[in-house]
Amino acid sequence: MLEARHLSCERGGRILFRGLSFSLQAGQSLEIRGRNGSGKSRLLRILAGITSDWSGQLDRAERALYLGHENGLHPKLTVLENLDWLASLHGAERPAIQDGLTAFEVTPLAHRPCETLSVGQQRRAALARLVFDDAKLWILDEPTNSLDATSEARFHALLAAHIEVGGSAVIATHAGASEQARGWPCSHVLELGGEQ
Amino acid sequence: MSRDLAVAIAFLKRESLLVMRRRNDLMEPIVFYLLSLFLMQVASAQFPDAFTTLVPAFLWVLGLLAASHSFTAGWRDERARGELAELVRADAPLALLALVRIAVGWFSTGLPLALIAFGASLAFDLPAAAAWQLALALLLGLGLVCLIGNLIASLAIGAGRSSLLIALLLLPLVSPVLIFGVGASSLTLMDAAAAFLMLGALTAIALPLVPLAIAFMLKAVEDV
Repeated sequence: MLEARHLSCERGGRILFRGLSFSLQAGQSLEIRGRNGSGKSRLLRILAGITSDWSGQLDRAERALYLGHENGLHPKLTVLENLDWLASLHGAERPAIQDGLTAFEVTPLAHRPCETLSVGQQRRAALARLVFDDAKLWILDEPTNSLDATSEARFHALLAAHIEVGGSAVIATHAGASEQARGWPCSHVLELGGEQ
Repeated sequence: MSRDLAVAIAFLKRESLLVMRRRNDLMEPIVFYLLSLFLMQVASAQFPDAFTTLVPAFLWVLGLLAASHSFTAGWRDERARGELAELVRADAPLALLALVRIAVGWFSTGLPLALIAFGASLAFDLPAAAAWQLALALLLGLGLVCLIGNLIASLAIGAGRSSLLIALLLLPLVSPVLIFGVGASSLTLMDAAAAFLMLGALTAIALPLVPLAIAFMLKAVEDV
C-alpha cells in the first residue's frame, strides 16, 4: 500500500531526515514519533503527495486521506457545508456524511458556522471525514490535538476498526506519547530525531 | 458527469455560498465606488465641462481600484486553514477551480460595478449609447482584472505583506487594461472598436493561461 525507500529531505540547509525506508501493507499502521521540528509533518506531506521537495523512492498504491494540523474548514461555512464540499472532492455520498457527523457527535453542530465552534469541536468536524472518505490509507498529523477524552476514544476506536478491515494509517504523534496512551493497534514505529 | 465537472460544480456552489455569507465584504468595493464617484463629482463641480469629458476615465480608474479590494484574502487564507492542501489534491484540475473562483469574483464584483458605471454615466449626462459602451467595456475589463488580480494574489501568498505586493504588481499589469478600457469607452479619444478588440484579445489570451499559472503558483506554494 505504501513503500518508501531511502527518503531524504533537507529544508533551509538542515537535513530533516535521511535514508528513511519503510513499507506499510493493508491492515498495518505506522506511528511517526519525534519532537517538534523533527520533520514529522514534512514526512506526512511527502507521503500524501503534497510536497515534492525530497529524494528517494516512494510508491503509494492509491489516494490517501490527509489531515494535517489545520482542519481545512472554512470559518464562514457550516460544518455540513464544509463536509459536503470535502466529500464532493472525492465523490462521497451525503448519507455517509451523516454517519461521520454521528460518529464524532457533531450532528448538533452541523448547521453552525465553523467560526462559532471551539477548537476541539472543529477538530471533531474535521475528523468526521474519516468516516465518509473511502481512502484506504489515512495520513494524519497529530489527529487527537485539542480533542477531549471521549472524542479521543472515539477516534481510537474508529482507527482500530479501519485497520481491522484492511485499511492503513500513518500517524504522527509527539515523542512523549506512551504505548499505553496510544490507544490503537500500531504495527511499526518510526522515530525521527531531526538531524542537524 | 465527469469527476472534474462534478468537483468544479461543487466548488462553484461553495464559492457562491461564500459570496452570500460575506455580503459585507462584497459591499466594500461597491460602497467605495459609489462614494468615490460622489466625491469626484463634488470635487469637479467647478469644472463641469472637464468632468463630463473625463467621466469614462474616472469610472474606469475608480472601478479598477474598487475591484482590487476583492483579491487579497482568498488563496492566502485558504492556505493558512489547510484548505489549499485539499484543493491541490482534489480530483479536478486546480486550474479549473481557479477559473471558477475568477468567474464568481467577476460576477459578484465586476457585474455590480459595471451596472453602477452604467447608471453613473447616465447620471453624468453621457449619451445612452456611450453609457452602454462604457459599461460593457468595464465588464470585459474587470474580467481581465479579476484574472490578473487572482494571479498576483496567488503569487503573493508566500509574501508577508501581500496587500502591498499585490498593489505594486497590479499597477503595470492593469495599465494596458485601463488604457484600452478607457479607449473602448470613449466616443472621441480613439477608435473604440479597436480598443474593444484589444481588450477582447487580452482576455482571450489570459483566460486559458492565467488559471494554469495560478494552479502552478498554488502548487508551488503548497510544495514549500
